[in-house]
Amino acid sequence: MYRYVAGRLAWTVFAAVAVLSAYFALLVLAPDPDAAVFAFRAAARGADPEAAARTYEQLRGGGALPVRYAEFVSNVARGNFGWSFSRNRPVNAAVLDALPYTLGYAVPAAAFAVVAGYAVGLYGAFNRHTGADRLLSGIAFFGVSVPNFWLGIVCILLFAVRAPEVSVLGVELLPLPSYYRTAVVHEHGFLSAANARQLLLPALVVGTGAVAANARYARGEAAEYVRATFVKAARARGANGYRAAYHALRPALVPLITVLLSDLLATFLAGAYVTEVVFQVPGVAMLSYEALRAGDTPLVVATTLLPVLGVLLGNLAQDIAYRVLDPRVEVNA
Amino acid sequence: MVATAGCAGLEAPDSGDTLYGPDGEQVTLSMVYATGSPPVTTTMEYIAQRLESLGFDVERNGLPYPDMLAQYAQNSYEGTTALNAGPRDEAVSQEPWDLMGGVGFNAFPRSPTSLRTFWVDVAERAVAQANFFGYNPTEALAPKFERAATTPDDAERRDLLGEVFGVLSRDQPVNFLVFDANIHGFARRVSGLGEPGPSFGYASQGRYFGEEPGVGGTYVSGRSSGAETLNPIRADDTESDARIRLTMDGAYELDNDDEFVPRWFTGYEASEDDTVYEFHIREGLEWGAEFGSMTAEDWVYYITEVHQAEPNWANSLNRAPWFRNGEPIEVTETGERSFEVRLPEPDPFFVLRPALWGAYCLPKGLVAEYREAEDGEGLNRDSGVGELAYTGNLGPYSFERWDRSSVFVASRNPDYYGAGTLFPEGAPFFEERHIQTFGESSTRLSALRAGDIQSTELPPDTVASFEDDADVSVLRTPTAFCNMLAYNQRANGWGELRKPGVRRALSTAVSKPTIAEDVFRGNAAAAYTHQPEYSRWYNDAKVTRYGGPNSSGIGAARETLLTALPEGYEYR
Repeated sequence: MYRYVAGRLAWTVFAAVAVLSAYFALLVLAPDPDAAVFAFRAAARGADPEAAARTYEQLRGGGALPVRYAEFVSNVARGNFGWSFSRNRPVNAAVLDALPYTLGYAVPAAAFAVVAGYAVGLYGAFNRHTGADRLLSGIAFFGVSVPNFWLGIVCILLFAVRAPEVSVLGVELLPLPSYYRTAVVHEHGFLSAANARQLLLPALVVGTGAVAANARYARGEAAEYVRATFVKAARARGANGYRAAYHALRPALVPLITVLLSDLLATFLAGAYVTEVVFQVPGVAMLSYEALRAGDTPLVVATTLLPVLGVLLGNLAQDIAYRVLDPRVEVNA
Repeated sequence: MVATAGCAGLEAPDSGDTLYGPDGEQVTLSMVYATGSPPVTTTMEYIAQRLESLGFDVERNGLPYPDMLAQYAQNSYEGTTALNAGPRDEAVSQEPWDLMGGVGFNAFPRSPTSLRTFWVDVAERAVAQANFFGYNPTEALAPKFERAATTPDDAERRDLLGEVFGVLSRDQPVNFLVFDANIHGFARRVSGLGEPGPSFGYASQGRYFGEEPGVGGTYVSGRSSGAETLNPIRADDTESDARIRLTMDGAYELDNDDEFVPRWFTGYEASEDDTVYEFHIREGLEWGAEFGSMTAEDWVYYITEVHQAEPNWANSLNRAPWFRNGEPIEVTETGERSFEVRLPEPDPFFVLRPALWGAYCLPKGLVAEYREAEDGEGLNRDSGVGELAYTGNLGPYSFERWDRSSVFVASRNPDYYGAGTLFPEGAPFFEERHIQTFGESSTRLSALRAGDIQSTELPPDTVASFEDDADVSVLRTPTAFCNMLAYNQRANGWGELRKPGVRRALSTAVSKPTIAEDVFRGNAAAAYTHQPEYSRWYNDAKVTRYGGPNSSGIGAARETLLTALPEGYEYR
């Protein structure tokens, strides 16, 4: 088991370095159209185009390619991703500042996706082809299919612009804020009701797709065990619906783990970019998006490393969990 | 019946609708345009359809603006890549093109001689740096620009520039389409907005909530893009300037009539021949971070050691106005709070140029620390620069924080020098000013509707709905930004585009009033040359309005085209 974990860890490190190097190469070798915009602005001002080109190169922190790559590898090995010219600050600081904003909606959305997704899936498995099952399946299909950007915009219109004023015991419930305000964090802190209130819509939008995906998988996997002998035996011994669901869920968890850790991460990563832009959440996805637009290589690499490591470690954890949940599964280091 | 080009006056309607070239194929025009702006996309589609009515086959290719500039506008010659890298027969863009949309140039009505960079002969590379389309005017425009820039006789200048813009209207080096209007949406409770005009917002320090000026509240403006930097030396985008300007007023402003409005500078004197300008700095201007009072020494050092320094150690992006003919302009102190600028040649526009208009300065004590080591990056990374710690009492607000990707926050500056002098006692009137960035336009507009922000710019297609909103007031201000369709006259464009008659025909087919009214929903003004009609340099008698309200459309365009094209082209 330990050899297996060590081997997987080594593979994870190798894969991370390979992905980062490929990113570096792509970013450095890709054409930089912003240089043309800079040149156009300079020419319109009557500035010397060659001097403007030199200035642009210096502003972007240019230099010989091998030197830049060596610096990049050395920085990454030391956990220091260098300087972000587009942020005018260390990359690490920029990422660390952005991370809490992403976690602020991603963690509740993940919890929501797991709890609600499995609950809906199990309910469907035990009540197949009923009206409620069809309704929940319909909602799940809608949740999987609807684009996050559309859902986000509609949620803003419904809950922030057109919602009536609703308060309960002096607590304002509606309307919700139309965009994410960092001022709330500065005034009340991350772990405050005011911040939770403005994270509600982003979490809902990111969570919807994941809930739906989880519900569909859970329903499919649990359905295999609903009529299994051991579930029937449990029922015969007097187990109620919840207890029977527990019995069905236990074997279904093994394949569901695969979904949970890889598909869920993928859903989140894809959804995070859109969600952060629509709700103006200054998180890691927004940081990454803006770094890509600015061609800020060190920042792109750092913001890419996080999800890459997330997926790689997620896969590792998934394999280990698979082994723990089902001891019959063989592992080969 | 076949209508043959080169035979003026032939009756075209009886011939076919398709234009064939000497090779027997339909003439195809390649249109590239920048995506991302719905009005631009619609305009390009409209133009393409009009040109198809004129008999062309139009291939459309939309792509992001930076990519368009890189692949189609920049051209290469002998290892150099620039917007005008060399002779138009040899220096061509990476990809061939005929028509380019989604580009536009400011008409600089305050200092129109700056437009030389676009409109003088493409062969004059040192001046025509932005002439990427390969234009060669039918009359020499360089001497007219030159004379207009230096003559002390204002009537002569108006006459010369009137001629220049007349030639441009007839030459149609590009199809001048429309001048945008900026459309601002404000929460109704914001007062003291000022008169709409070209300089709208130049006195925004006096805005307040409610009926009477009084301190209180947070004013949030929503912007569609973020700032690049807070370092004034490296700021050349409007978003960076919008944030910096909350903390520093700048040297002086120009009002809607281009009159000098004092800020840090109380006034100036110009010599009779417009070669020497002496500027006077206000008393009581204090830097922050213990850099003392603002003096002429700060300004002269900043101009000579930052903008004019060789090499450009600080990477100043505002150097161009401080050089003439490649040489630095002489700047010297004349007193503790006055300095003079000596120009090598007369320039009546100097005060209207972006050399000192709205210009910022950094304290000598801060800059000198890095100057000797030529450590521009060190200066850029200095926390005092990044957090605008040196701004003291020089602006209405003080830097609080900048959450990149999100919001710039500045708090009311109780020591603001302008309170009780330039503005009423107590100014500025907001406790905080926020500039919030929105990556998604619909979120920004929703925030205005929800009352979460107090102002933002409105796209033309949303104006009607905001005008019906009782909580929002809509203001339009004219701009000098001219949307254009460039004609490629370099070697990789359709060769006939070098003929003014052909360009005139194409421009005639496109109705500018239709674009202004139907595409921009009345929020733009038709353009016929590179100067808006409100400009004092626009001479209606000299401007020909191709594609104007009296233009007879496709029929007239076709006749013009037949006349201009050589033998071999025909309608079938």
